[in-house]
Amino acid sequence: MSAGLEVISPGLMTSVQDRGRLGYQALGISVSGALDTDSFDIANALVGNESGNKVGTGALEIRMLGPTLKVTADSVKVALAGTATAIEVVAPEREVISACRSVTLLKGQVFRVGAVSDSAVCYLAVHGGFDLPPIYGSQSTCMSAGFGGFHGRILEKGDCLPLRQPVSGSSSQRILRRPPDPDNSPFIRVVAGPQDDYFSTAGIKTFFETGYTVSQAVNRMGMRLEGAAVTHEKGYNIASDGIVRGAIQVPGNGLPIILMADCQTTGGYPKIATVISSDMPKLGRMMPGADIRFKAVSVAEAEAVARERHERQAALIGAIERFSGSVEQLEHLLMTQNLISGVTAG
Amino acid sequence: MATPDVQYLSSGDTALTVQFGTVIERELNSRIVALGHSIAQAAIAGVSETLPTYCSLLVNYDPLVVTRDELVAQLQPLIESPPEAGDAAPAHWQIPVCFDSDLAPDLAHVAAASGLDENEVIKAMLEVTHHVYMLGFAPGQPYMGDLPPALNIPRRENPVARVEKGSVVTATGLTIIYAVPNPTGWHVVGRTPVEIFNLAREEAILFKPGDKVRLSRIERDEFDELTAQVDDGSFDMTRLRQP
Repeated sequence: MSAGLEVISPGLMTSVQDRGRLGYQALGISVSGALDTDSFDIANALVGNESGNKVGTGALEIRMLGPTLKVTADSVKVALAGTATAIEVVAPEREVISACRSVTLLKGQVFRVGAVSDSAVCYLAVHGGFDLPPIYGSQSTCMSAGFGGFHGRILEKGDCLPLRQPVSGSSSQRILRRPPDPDNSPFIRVVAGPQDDYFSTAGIKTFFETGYTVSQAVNRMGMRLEGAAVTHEKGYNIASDGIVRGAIQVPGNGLPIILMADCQTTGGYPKIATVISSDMPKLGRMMPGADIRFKAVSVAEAEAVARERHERQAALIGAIERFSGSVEQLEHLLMTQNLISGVTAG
Repeated sequence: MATPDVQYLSSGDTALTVQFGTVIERELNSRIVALGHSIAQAAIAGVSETLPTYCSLLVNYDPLVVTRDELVAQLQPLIESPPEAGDAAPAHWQIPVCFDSDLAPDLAHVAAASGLDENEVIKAMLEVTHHVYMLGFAPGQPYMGDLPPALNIPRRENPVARVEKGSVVTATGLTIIYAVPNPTGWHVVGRTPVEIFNLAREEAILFKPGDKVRLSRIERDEFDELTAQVDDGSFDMTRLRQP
């Protein structure tokens, strides 16, 4: 067994994801990849990894309940992002490591991410990434086709995740002192189409003017919504066409389904609207029971939002600071920001 | 050839659905596949990939690099120029299929629904040169057509939870060969021992959009023998390619 991280308990649904498998949709290969790319990028930046599309450095996507892992490598630098939940070192000595900072853990240490209550997903990145073969250029797990990531599936007890860098220094760490405030508003911006003409005027009105709730039926492929049925005008079968992440298809029962990262490449239900790319990370964080209100924007508006988001995300990554890793320096950093109470909670 | 009258439908801010029509038809589909190749050759900045389907081409792009309006302006001349063959030249395949009743549980239903007898259904599937309209739903899974009008029968009312890989299924005059085990709303009329998707193989995916496929009938003993060859890795994939 190669050195890395041994899975003591796998969590609810933990999988290796990166920025996705781009360039193979014409072959029927789903894109997959992190649901919340914003937090994924922050987690990777905190451990000093690049996470651009071409690199394929996967992190663990944690859903609701995180894993318990034992370090079997000499050392590993990890960081958690996308939640205020902390990393808990449970053996040999207890220690709490807040999210949005890196820490180097040593061979034999056991750590876990417990119940995550402020987001549906969060990301645990490791310095150097996992030593897993890229499939079609990506380490993302495609569960529907059973490949990528760790043996094409979610983690199970006893798995050992191999590391590309089985030794990580502890003298230099990184921290993001002001993580972005969670956006808890129900508004999700969409561009109408590509098949909004398949719906009646009343159906379109229902879609935009009534609220929806995220149902329990939500996974990496899609998010089923509960609420008022949207009425079709031209039936609910189209000649199957290409699907993008964020497409909102409406099957015969009129209840919208938002297609997520693992969605199939093609589908035969009409799509009333498409979530703008900038709101996909927020959508990925939404948990069952969350309220959604759709807000229509033009493509030009969505493009402007994409540019703003890109700059904001670059500024966040740029705000990540290095520190020596000593407890004293960390406490000083946190005290000056008056954030210590938020960090020690939980 | 006349310039097709296309519609540009927005799929959010990262993709454009270039729609050539709404009727499933080979000529139209071939233009769509060819446009995908033209776009790849043109190497338009910001375009990450294209995805051909029956009646449209999905063009994925990065809105930080190219706006929708800039993209449309660059696509229009490619649509107006005649399609280039290039590396789009279709491959021809011959795929062995066994129609024994346990591998073709819906053959009787398809026969009844189409007004043909079972042998006529099989004959129709063997006589057609199937056109691969698109790959979708699962890796490398071909959506092929077209069968004679009698076989334009509806899908199942209730999908079945699982069919095996290699299942040959039909509905609405079209045929699919299943890449991996999956639920289906179509009718299972045969099975091939050939794995149309296998990551362990150098050429993991057999078909590409635009390819031509003929089915050839094999009996049960040959099906079993070829299945064993596929399982132990000795199956000769080159025998599937037709000149």
